[in-house]
Amino acid sequence: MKSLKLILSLILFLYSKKTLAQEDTINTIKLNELVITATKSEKLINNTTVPIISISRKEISSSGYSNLSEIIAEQTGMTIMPTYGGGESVQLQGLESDYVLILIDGFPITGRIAGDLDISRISLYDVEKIEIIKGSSSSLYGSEAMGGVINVITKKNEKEGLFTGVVYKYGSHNFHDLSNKIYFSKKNTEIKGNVNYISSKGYDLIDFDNTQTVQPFNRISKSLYIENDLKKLGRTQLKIRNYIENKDETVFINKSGFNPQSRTNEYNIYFKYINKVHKKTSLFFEYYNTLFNNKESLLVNGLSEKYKFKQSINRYELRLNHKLQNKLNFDLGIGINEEFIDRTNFDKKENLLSQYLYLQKDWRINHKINIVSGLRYDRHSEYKSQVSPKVSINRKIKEKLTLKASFGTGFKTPDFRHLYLNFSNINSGYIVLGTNVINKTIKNLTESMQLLDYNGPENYILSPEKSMSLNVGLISYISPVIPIEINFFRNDINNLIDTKIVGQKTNGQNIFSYFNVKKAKTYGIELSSTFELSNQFKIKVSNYHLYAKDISALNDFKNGLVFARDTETMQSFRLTKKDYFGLLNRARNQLNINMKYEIKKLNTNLNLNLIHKTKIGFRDTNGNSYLDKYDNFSRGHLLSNFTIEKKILKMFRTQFIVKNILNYIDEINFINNPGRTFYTRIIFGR
Amino acid sequence: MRIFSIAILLIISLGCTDEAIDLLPTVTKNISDLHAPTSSEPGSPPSGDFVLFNLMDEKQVFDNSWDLAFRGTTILINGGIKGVDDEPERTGNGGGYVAISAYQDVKSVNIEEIKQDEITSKAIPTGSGNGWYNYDFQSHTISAIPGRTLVVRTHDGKYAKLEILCYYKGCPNTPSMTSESQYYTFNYTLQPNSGEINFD
Repeated sequence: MKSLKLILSLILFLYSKKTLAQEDTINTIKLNELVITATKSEKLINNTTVPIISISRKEISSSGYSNLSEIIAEQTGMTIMPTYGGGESVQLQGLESDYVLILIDGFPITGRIAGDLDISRISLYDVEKIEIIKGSSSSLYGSEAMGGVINVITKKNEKEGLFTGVVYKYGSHNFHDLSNKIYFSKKNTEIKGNVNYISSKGYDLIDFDNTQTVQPFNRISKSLYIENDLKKLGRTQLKIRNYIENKDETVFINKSGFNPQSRTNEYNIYFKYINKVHKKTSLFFEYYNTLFNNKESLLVNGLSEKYKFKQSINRYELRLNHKLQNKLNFDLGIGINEEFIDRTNFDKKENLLSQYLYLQKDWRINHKINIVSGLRYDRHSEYKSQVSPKVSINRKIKEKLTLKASFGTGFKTPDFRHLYLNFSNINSGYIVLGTNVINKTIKNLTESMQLLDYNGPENYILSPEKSMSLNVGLISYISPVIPIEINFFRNDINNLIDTKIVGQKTNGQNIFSYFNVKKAKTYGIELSSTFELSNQFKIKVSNYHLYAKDISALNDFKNGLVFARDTETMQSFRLTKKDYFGLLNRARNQLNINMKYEIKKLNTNLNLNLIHKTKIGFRDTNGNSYLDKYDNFSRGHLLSNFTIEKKILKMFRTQFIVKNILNYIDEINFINNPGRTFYTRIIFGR
Repeated sequence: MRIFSIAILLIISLGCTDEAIDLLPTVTKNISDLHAPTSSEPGSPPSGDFVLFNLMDEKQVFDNSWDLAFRGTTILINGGIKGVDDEPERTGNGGGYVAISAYQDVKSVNIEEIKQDEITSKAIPTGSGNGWYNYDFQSHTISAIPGRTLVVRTHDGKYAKLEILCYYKGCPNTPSMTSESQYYTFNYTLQPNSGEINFD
């Protein structure tokens, strides 16, 4: 609540300042901006019916950042949290990264080894813009689009000619980021080649253990893009990309001469064909193939263990778009998806086949009302079919006031692990079985007299996790230069998959399997406003207030089943609903302030970004297995980044970047954060 | 006349003696760091001797007069049937259940809830979250769940309520990876009058 009061008083203060009447060219450009992710067709951002954030190329470039998580961290309602090994994942509207779909040029990224996705490995070197849609978007994008969609759009269609560009960044922990691009465009053809190399020595937050918090790593990314305009025959786009990451684990102290390593290999290829078959009808064909291959060999308790994870997707999609009288836009899409997976602790290689069909109607009723409605049908070889509807509206109430509302469902198919995992953790005394392998395994255990008891169901079929989401927002332009946006959201999620004990082996090991058991809800408010105090000085303030709760936990509190202990008297006392904080790993409030200052005479730009998060509970500390207000939380904290950029020649820019100016460190919980770091960056060419 | 008055006095005094017999007061005790080790190799069933405890005598015993048997996180009652592990024989009429109530709020015993140990299911349920403790998979620590009070019938028919406070030696506020586990610290109140179900 304190941060809310702070932001309200800040807004009032800034409104009271006299804003210069000037050419609002910046905002006119913004109003005319076209976005593609909301409906798969280009649409004016002002007419979109869903909460959307569009991050421009200029914003990405002048931030000086190297990877996707750095720029996402500064956006309203997006929270970056650490993942295994110092990676970073994104939460959206209180849903974890497992429920946020990440796309590059409209195609999904794979590599969710444990469900979450490390987006710090997605480089920004070739990015034109990033579009973020909030709220369930499964009506267009299918599985995983429960919290929303992040679409990273790479650069295309630059000026004609032949040119090259180089960007080099150097900084703390021996960080190198070098990219080089060659671009050729003439008449109907565009060819672009890109190479990006990133390396770092990593860092260590805890001295007394044998490993570094983040191991030294290097990454090489190469891509080739070819676009051809065949006039009446249509347009084609082809992109091939390869990404290799090596982690050097030799910092482990080992006596056996064993050499631990980790290597990730990723290939993507996509082919798009676009044909305007008729004045009002267009045909889109897309083929996508991606392969993600991760091999890790580690020393665990003196024994060398190898882990492998290999996942590939093969997708074909055909879409028809038809415009009726300039008011109505219909889309019909059909697709086939094939997914292969091969990993340690699976009995054999598995594959999943699915098909989908979607319909969308984008109806501009008049200049005040735009309704977009859609439906998608997903058919799976292993799960129940899913129907995901969505309806959304954009209503201009007054000339400067717009209302947006959207309601839709989302789903996420169970992970491969939930179906096929056969994992025995001898040291911790438990085994985990996926629902497809449990019957066979229980039979084997019974025959070999290893089963003590089993009380699981006969044939449990997992359902996808589902959600319903509602977003209601207002966008207002009090004056041409001051937009203020407010969005209320709510997500009701059910069929969440969690593990439960189904039996015991004679050696005392508990047997776990997966079930659709949990229900949760997330709701809150996002607020953001931009102020141009002068031609040179711009401030953006945004606040995100979130509640995320598990429904059965809430009921346990309501029914008086939850207690805490007074640490002094050691007496237990009953807790009430008000004492339940909510789900782990989420802050109640996040405040972002971004300031940009331009010194035109010196060709210099200054950029300061502040992110404040209130306290976060990472685990239950008082023994009752719930996160309540008597647990120990990690204190609220402030992260601040500063970039200064100077243009030296027409094609030559330099930047100096400081991240985490206040050197905030939490070595237990925020392993993705190394403390204060410095970088210099030079940009040559476009 | 005299015999008559003596007789009346005797009768009255006998009656008075009956009313004047006091009930034994409840016994409250705190036990710290009762070591209940289980030596088990990973992958094999838990082994080692159960620590047998008598609530009335307030100490570990080595004969059939035990009320509770501790080994690792498992707590057995001296009543019911012996299970498959190397459990001690049940020689008494003990029983118990776990009440979801603050220790100071358990005023009497709910006789209907009293259960005895069976082959696989125990009066004090085993497993994280089911009985008296939670196991945190991330920090690998065992914590006594606040608000879980064990209500127990001793091997010889007396009732007691018991609250486990810690599972680590010295009862640290936040156990770490180096804290020694399998040390019970608990409070209990014993009602020494057989069959009496109130604790006040």
